[in-house]
Amino acid sequence: MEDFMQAAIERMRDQGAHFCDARRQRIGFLRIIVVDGSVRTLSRDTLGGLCLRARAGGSWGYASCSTLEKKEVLAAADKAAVNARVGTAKGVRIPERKAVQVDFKPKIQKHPDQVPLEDKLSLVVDLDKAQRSDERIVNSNAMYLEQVKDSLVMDSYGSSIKWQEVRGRLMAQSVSSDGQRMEAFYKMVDGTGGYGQFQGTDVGTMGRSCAEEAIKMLKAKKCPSGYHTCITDPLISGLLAHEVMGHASEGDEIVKKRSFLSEVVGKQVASELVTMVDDGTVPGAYGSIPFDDEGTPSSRTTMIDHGVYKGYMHSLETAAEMGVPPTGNGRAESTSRRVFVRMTNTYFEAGDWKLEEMIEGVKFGVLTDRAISGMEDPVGGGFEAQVLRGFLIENGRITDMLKGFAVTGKALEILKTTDAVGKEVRLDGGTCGKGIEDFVPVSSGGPHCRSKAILGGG
Amino acid sequence: MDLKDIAAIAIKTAKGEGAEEAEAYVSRSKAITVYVDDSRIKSVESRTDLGLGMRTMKDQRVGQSASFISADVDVRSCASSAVRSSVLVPQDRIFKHFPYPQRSQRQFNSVDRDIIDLDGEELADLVMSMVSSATAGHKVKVPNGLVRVSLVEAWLSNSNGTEVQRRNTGLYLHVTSMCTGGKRGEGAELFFSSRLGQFQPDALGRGLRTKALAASKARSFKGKRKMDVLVPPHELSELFHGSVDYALSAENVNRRRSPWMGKIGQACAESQVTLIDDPFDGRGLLGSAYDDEGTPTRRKVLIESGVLRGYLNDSYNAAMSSSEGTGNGLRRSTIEPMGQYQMPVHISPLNLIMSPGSKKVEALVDEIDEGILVQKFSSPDVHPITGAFALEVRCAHLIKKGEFEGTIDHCLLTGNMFEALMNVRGVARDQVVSGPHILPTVCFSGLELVGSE
Repeated sequence: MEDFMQAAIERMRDQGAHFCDARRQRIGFLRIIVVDGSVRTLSRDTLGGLCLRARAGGSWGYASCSTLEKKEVLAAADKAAVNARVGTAKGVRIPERKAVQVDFKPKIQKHPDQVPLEDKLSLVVDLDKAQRSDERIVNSNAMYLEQVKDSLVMDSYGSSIKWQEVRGRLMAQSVSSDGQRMEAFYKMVDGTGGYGQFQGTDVGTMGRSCAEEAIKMLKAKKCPSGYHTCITDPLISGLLAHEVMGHASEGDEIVKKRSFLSEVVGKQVASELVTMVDDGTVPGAYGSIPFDDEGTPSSRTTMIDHGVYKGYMHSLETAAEMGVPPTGNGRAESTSRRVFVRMTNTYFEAGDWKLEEMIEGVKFGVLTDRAISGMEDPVGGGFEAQVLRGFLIENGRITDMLKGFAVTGKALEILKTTDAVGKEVRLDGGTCGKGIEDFVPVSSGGPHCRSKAILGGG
Repeated sequence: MDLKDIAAIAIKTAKGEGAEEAEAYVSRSKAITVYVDDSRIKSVESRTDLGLGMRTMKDQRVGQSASFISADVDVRSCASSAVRSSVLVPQDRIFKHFPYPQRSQRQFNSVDRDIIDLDGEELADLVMSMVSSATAGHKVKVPNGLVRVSLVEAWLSNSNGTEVQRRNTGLYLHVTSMCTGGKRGEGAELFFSSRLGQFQPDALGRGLRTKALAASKARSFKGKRKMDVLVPPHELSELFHGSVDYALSAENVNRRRSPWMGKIGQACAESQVTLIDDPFDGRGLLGSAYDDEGTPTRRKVLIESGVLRGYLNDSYNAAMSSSEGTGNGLRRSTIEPMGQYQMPVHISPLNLIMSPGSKKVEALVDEIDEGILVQKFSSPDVHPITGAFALEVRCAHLIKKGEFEGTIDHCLLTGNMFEALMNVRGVARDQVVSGPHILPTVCFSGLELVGSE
């Protein structure tokens, strides 16, 4: 296959591409879903294919296929070269870099291939069963997702980089009802550390506590609407880091000046308590990658250092456009998707506050607890997070549980009002789409952060 | 290789390895996508894929597997994997057989030769005419955009004799626009069609320009008030996806997590609301005579003048509730043509149509004392179980005494979708295809808008 890929690269170069690469992937998935005590899904899937990419001027031509016969691979190379010439974008050449030959295997606690499928199924069945301890739990769900992804990237500068990523997630979701009202709660464990992280999880406790919290939520009250003090938990802090500050720090948004952070390097954009990074090298984190999909090693990029804006994340292209080194953020969902600037693990760094101290200082406000979703706004810098639930704070203490609500506001205004940052950082995994597709695994997080924001309860 | 032949090899392999029943779903997709970046063609992408989704049954144990097909060995490997999985799965007392052959009463063709014949250069030309229309004469640019045309061919066979095929073409567009000077703000256009002839680049370009200018003039909303809210079709479609589609799914009814469980015959919406799932409406993208399990599709009245009449079923959930399958077990998407073989069967509307009202949107605006016409939400998510929402308004037109009074942004619209459906003040006569929905603009009364103080 590597011979075919090399031939394809030569074909694209012969047709005028001044840079081109070939990316092959094979991904093994395992999905186990147990619902209300029955196994709804046990599926082993294999996805993969080949993507060829050619650059002409400032445009890219892509062609991808699932069949890997030489004739079809070369036809795809022709198509990629033709597609590149259709483009009209202006741009600089991708600078030549030293060719490397790499074959990287991850160091993980236990490779999922070494664990019998029966053991994984038992884990999920037990997690589902543990949730069904109270008649008010009307629906229990347990899910295990595993992904072993083998990639090979070869480029026209002579590099050949082969690596493997192992990713997993275990999740419980309990739905409660008192006959009038329904609520739901979830718990999740995820990462790139191998199957060992799940063997260390007490699924009985995880399932029971998920159900208990879902039941407690049946009495949660509506969140007060308005502009209030808000202590964001690590998941909601992470959404602010990822959705607004992170997406607006992606180099492609900067090059075309779509981002509200396009011209702020060196400026104070947040409280000096705020430091934010994207770091693809965090051991075991869900968004960690040894290399991006262009073969650049992942790295740590500091975007905000004590409130001062420092810099952006880059692919080969945006690094070339801005005359800086690539940061290992050129990523693609699959071989049938384009490569562009994407995050890895994006989070706020720790401060020195305890959560109890942060709560004590609030006369009237809200503490968030877990995220449902968030949405990027690199243009306007608006923040929106859908919160699973929260707690009302009155006169320095928690007085009520609150049902789902939203936190919003201008991100820079929220970050400028940040007056306390917690000691403990937590990262949670997820899938990030840019626009409304191109999903890649990432994590986001941070510590608890206290700021002012608009709250609205549905 | 022919799709039917691939399915036959897969079923033969599964049966040979001990499966009592086997189902093979084979899909082949082709797509061309043109990406716009900063008002220029940034990338052109040609994609093809071929793959197999397999379900096998033995002793009422169902195993599943999916694989891309790079060579014949992948077909046999996928079939074997499904059989091996089924051995481990506990017996399921509900699902006894894959569907037996049933004949659809209708033929349906959802293929447009013009889409199949289009190449990357021709599509790029159409896209650039839209961009030119958006950027002409004003300080407006198109920072991001994608336009995709696709053809999906799928074949389904099972060992009970069911054999159905499907071919669908599609055109999907998602493009944004913004002003190059002054206040920032972004407009967006979405477009879905199965026919190239319905793609009107100039009109979409003008829409992008108008929306960018409106967003650039938006001011922050202050305070909080209850008001009437006009929600346009694409935003409503997203809201429906997280609420109505969820509540109508028999999977969620059977799992007791649908808020409409046990409410057949009861009012679940205001009397102006009628929802029909019609697989034969030529405007939609997912229409076909059979679903992706081989069950014939049919027109279904789901909400009639506000009263709930039925749910959407796949074969599993039909068996679970001892009811007829409605032909809504799907492995397809309106946005992503690739990899449909790997999508598990899930319940989805084919073309969920909301009956239009008699008035123009402008007439509904005239009737509003205080309210907004939403242009764009940040992300129109609804909590599917509770129906609660709190949506960041990226741009909306403020209405006072039937007149527009500028645009607003950065505020939250809060409410509950299931309650909002009971408080529909008006339904416009426009109808737009958006994903698996065909919806008009709808006016909801009494929603709360919250801004900064």
